Amino acid sequence: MIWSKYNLEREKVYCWKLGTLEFFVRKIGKEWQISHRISNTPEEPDEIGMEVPEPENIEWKSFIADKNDTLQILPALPDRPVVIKPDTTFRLMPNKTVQFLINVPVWVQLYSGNAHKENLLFEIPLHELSSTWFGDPDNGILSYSLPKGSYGSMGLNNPKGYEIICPVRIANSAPGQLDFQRLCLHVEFLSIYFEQNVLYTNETRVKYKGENLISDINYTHQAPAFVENAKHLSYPRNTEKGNVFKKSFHFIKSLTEY
Amino acid sequence: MELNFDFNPDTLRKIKEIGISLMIGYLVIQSLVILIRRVLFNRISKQSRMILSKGIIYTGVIVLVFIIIGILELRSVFTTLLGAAGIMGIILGIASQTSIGNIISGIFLISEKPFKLGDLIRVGDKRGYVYSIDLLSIKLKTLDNLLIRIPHQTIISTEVTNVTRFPIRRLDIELGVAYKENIKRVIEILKNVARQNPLCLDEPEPLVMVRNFGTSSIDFLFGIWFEKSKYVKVKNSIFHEISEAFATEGIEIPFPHVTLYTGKITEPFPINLANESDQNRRWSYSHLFPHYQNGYFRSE
Repeated sequence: MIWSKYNLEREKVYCWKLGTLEFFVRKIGKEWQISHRISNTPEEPDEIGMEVPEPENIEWKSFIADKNDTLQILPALPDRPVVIKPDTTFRLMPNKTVQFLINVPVWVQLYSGNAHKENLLFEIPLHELSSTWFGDPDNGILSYSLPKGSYGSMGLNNPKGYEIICPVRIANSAPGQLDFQRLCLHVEFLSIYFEQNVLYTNETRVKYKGENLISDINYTHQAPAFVENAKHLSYPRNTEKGNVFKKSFHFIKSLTEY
Repeated sequence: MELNFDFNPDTLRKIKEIGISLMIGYLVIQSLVILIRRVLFNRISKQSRMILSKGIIYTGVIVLVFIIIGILELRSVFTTLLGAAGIMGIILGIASQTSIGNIISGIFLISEKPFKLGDLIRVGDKRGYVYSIDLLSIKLKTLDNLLIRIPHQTIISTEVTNVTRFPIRRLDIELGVAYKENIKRVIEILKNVARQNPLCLDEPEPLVMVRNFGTSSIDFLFGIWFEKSKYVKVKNSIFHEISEAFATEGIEIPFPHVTLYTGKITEPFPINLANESDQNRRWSYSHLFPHYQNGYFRSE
């Protein structure tokens, strides 16, 4: 499993290759040197902490830390909310509930020693997501856009490569249908769990009350119910605060009318 | 010449009191300003901090002036001033007309909040970041690092554009393609350019619109949304990518040109190829105009 601690020998270069991303780490005294690039051989199998000769033409980034030679690699969710746009718009009937399993590309975090916020050396997304804007141009939120097919409502999604499954349960308690066009998922408030080589987050529960009312959003504080014996890996980037989730649905069809 | 200062004990006491008052006043004002900056650092905006600090400074200075007047026992001055208030009022009114206008305009500006410290604004042909908002004027720091002072009255009476008010912006690019190009294909290529550029936002969706059948080209408006802080990066990358995409797809960006066309049913323009006699006639000019050859003047 890649998500663990590694004791590195000083002045030696170690390589991790995860799909298309390749990163190199070297420890010299108190200094961590980290470099990353897009792999020239993405089709080849992944590498986990292999000692390699120093690659040519790479640019090292240096981080002065302490003499601790332990490197911890952990998964993380994106640093902004993600927006899911269904392939086809669908409607949720009143008093019905649906569960989505949303696949979010993982970010890799490198820590010097223990996984505390102050020990975070570097983080990088495995797949660059395109940026998008959720909400009105003057009052929305900058988010990442998930590619089409990143969600499923039936059964369990098969994560493609390094992805995290985020379960979202939506209950429509409004008298009318929920015309689902886009959903903004605040992944920065979710934890990550690990079980049988698959990453999960805790479940997000949305109670939709109507277009003009603020939806209730809650989080469970454990791994999803359908996953047994999951191990907790990462804490949320931010802790849950007030009513940051009120803007989770979007109903405006177009913002570009001229 | 001999200067004779009469430093009697009373004058010395007054000087001492004024000095102490100025020193204490200065320290109190500075302490209050520092306290506000530190205590309210994360609680109120930079602009509110600045306004509050300046309010304290101005109030402190006025209080100090009154204290000094009190120490100097200038009651007689007050009486004289009051006596001449009518005349003084007129004189002061005329003299400080612009300044008072600016102060009042400043109050309106602060209450209206068309911009705040750090915003990029355009006032007439001036463009810069709001550097400070003072009693009489605002200061703009231009993009080439110059400081411009604009009186509040000018701001009130001029159109002000706040470029960075909203978190996202649209960059509108006007471009033209040759008449032979397929409009649908051009639209698709432009949309694809926006999709491929990581700085362009997916939503709001990019706008591609046929604007006009121009004199030399079919004119398009291509609008892409981006984060306000990425303006230069977006502008540089998108122009480069449009140019590359058009070159790859063989889309022609025409230069302005004029085509003379006589229509279908009219006769063609009477253009005849020069015959031999014409050629001879032209050559016959060559002794008069040494640079004239084949109907053209040769360059040296």
